[in-house]
Amino acid sequence: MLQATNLRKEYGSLVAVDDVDLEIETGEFATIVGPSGSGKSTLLHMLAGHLEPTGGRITLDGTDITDTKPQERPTSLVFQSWALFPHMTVRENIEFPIRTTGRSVDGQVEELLEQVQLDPEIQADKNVSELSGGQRQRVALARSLAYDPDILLLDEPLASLDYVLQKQLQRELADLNVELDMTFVYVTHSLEAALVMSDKLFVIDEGDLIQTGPPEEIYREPNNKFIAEFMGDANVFGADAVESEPGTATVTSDEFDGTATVSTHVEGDLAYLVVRHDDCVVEPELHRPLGAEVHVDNILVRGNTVLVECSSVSTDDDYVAEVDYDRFETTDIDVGDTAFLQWEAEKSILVPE
Amino acid sequence: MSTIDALRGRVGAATESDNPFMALVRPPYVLLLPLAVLLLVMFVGPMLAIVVFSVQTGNAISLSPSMWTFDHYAEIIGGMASGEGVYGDVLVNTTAVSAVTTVATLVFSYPAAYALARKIERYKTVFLLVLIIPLFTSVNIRVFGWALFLVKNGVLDSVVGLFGVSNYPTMMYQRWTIILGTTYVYMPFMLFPIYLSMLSIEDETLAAARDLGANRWTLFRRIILPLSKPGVIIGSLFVFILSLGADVEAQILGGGSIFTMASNINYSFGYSQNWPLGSAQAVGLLIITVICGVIILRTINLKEIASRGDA
Repeated sequence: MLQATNLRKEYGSLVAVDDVDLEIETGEFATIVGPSGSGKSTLLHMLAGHLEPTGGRITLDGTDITDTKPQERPTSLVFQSWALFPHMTVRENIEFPIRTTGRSVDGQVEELLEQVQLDPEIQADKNVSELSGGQRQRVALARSLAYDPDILLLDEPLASLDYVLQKQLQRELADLNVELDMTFVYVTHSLEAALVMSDKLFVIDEGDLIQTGPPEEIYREPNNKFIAEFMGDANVFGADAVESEPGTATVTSDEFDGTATVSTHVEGDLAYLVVRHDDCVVEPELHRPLGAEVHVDNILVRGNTVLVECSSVSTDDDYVAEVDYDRFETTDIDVGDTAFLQWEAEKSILVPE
Repeated sequence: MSTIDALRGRVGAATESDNPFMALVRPPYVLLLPLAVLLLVMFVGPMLAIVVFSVQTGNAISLSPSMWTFDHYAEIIGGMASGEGVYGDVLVNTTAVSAVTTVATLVFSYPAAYALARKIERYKTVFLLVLIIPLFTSVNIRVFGWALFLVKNGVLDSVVGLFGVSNYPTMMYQRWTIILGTTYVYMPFMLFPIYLSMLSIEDETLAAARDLGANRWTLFRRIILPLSKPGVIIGSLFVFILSLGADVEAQILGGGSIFTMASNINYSFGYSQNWPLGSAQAVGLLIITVICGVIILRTINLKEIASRGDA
């Protein structure tokens, strides 16, 4: 198990990582997710040994590795830029960690290239400058695997690839994690990547670890407004929630119509009601317990779904509903119409600030 | 405009764009034209004239000579091949000065360039300025500075005299004194190409190597050295070629008694007024320079350098 306790990094007066605790089980695919500048890459680079923590400890299976040099840690980092050695061929890049660790290179390059879906006969002797972005990413992955680490650390390695390739490689990384039974720690600002690949998420913002858990749990039960918005496209309404009995609250608001009893998962001043775009519908009349009268500003067809962009009649706040195309067609709603953005009460998520 | 007129226009445009000479008088190539003309007049012209002069007899030089001879080349090559006489000395002195200067500047520059590019953060600009400022001063002045330092009863004599040392061999007019001068004067031409090649190594490339198990020696041998090689090669090319043509250092620090190829060319054109012989030596120097340039540039992988940062 990889464990960090009170891990902290300061740059002068700036606290990049603020006393973070995390535990990652062996073989787990853990993702550290957060917006740009949240401290997630700093945290990963401290785990890799490339940054010295200002405070706190890192242990691996009970052994303290806080002061262990990167070249002596059983971790390997796939960099965001991939950091392939530009003067070497694909083969030489992959052989590099095998040689530094004093192992035999016999047949290893071919095996690793096949593992990352590259044809050794075609790619092995190419210079890395001759490869496409996706191929370079795969070579970087193969090179890190060639180090034979216990933990593979990945710093947004898919960020600069096109969307289709990102999705394909996300799937492949998740498969590789299972196939190798190796611990993966992945850093991303992409919610989709985090949800698709991970066993466990660590949500970080401004250096603070603000929620940990399985992706589905964090998506459905965010701890606060920031996580609720970050973890998926959502409409956020100010709300007055009054606890009716433990685990439920009766919610009303000036910003939407209706009153409903909604289950709660966090305590505190539940000042916001969050509802996902794909949990909302837009219809001419209010048929559900909760909803808001809106002007339809824009209708964007996205294949078999439609994004309906609208603004509140009373507050002028902007909201979005992602609805089924065929179902929306039957409503005859057009841009400029007045309608009701509405949702089922159980789709409401109550969160504090 | 009718369709036929439009098609004619397109055909005309296609014909112009297919003609490379027409393209040369249009932007962006036309912007190169003044420089190209200047180089043609100031460099290519005199070079051709020197080639023509080098195969003429006596001192009767002309751009359309009536008699041709390769005697000057034969004299130079024969002298150098035998290793005797003036040309034997010239070959030994020039080779020694150029080779030792190249090695010496490399030895001094490489660690300094590494430190400046990758390690020193504070006062880096100050250090770089200190290294650049001498380049703003004339070579003659800098070399005279060394002469004043080393000459009998000069600064060095005064300083060592304070310690009671007075009877030691003269420092001036030796081959190594010329090398001292060329090493000092041409140091920036080695340092800055290496510095720039060190700067072009991505931090993440080094971090990746460490991450993959490289210790300091492996990091240097497998990553830093090969990635800084283009700077070493270009710096060596600069220093070697400039040292081949080092005349001021040979004249002032060598006192005119140690002949290098450059000082011998100067002598032939000046004191002995034998322009064809001087021209033949200049052509020889030019050929050596071109050969060095071609050999060295062929060893640099320009594609790899251009791709740095993408990998």
